[in-house]
Amino acid sequence: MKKMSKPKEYTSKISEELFQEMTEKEWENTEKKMLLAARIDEAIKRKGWSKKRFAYEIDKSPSEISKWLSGTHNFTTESLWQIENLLNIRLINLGHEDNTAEIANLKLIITSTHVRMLNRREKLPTSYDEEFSFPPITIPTSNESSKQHYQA
Amino acid sequence: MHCKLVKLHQYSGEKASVYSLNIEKYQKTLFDIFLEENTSSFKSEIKEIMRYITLISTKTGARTSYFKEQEGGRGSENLFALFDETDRNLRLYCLNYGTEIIILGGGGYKDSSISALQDDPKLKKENYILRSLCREMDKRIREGNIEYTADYLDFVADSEDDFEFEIEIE
Repeated sequence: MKKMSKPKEYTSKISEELFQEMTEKEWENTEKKMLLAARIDEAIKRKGWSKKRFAYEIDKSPSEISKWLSGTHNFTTESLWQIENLLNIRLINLGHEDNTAEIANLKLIITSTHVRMLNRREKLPTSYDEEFSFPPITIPTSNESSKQHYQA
Repeated sequence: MHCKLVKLHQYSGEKASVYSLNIEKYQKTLFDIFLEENTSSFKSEIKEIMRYITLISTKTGARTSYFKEQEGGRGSENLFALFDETDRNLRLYCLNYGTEIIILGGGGYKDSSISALQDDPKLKKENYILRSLCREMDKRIREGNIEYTADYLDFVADSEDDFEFEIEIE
């Protein structure tokens, strides 16, 4: 006959009170430390290494490695880079910052006899080394002879 | 002392279930007693332990690397220490059954000058309570009185009585 009885559920009052005091940031920090340790642990296993072997390769004591993998450790960036290089994994993301420049405004200065375009045929930069082009524009004037086409 | 295995639903999740031992005389679990004994002196560490356990059960499972092994000696191979690091003040004892079930015991302040747990009366007491529980749980699992659910996330038995124990607590 299939067993059906399970242990009773217990509610801890003191736990409830303490949980209410915890901030989202605290949860996030603890989670990050634990997931980081798990990722390193998995990478060591993928390499087919024991923790002892990993300690040897990275020139640390086995007890220090145990601490690294406990999920409670605060790593230095130097340690993380060392681990990244040895295990061929990415732990620190240093992706490029968004360098899109805002196009502020296009100035069009019009005098009675001529039009001067500040942004000529050049492309406007959207990044530090990129540009885009204006479409050609025609600016009518009252005097037909002075009618000119300008291209940006 | 008469005790009952209970499930701590506030700490349990889809990756692991968390249990403790409810002491009938005190109407509290070993883990609750640990929280009460240590919150006033080590509140920040206590709260970190609580988050740690909750994240084990909801995100990561009880990875062996999170625990310090061989805390129970022969016959208590399931006995581990949690959060037992040189830069931390507290040690919490627990029993692990795979990566899916943890039974939380008690623990206490861990003086850095103490090399063997037997040198600290409090830690020795808490450790030995879990050794007794470990031996009794192993016996009931071996004899088929207690089994795992199909997903290994819970214990089941024929009767609730199978989750009651007589444990020597000084």
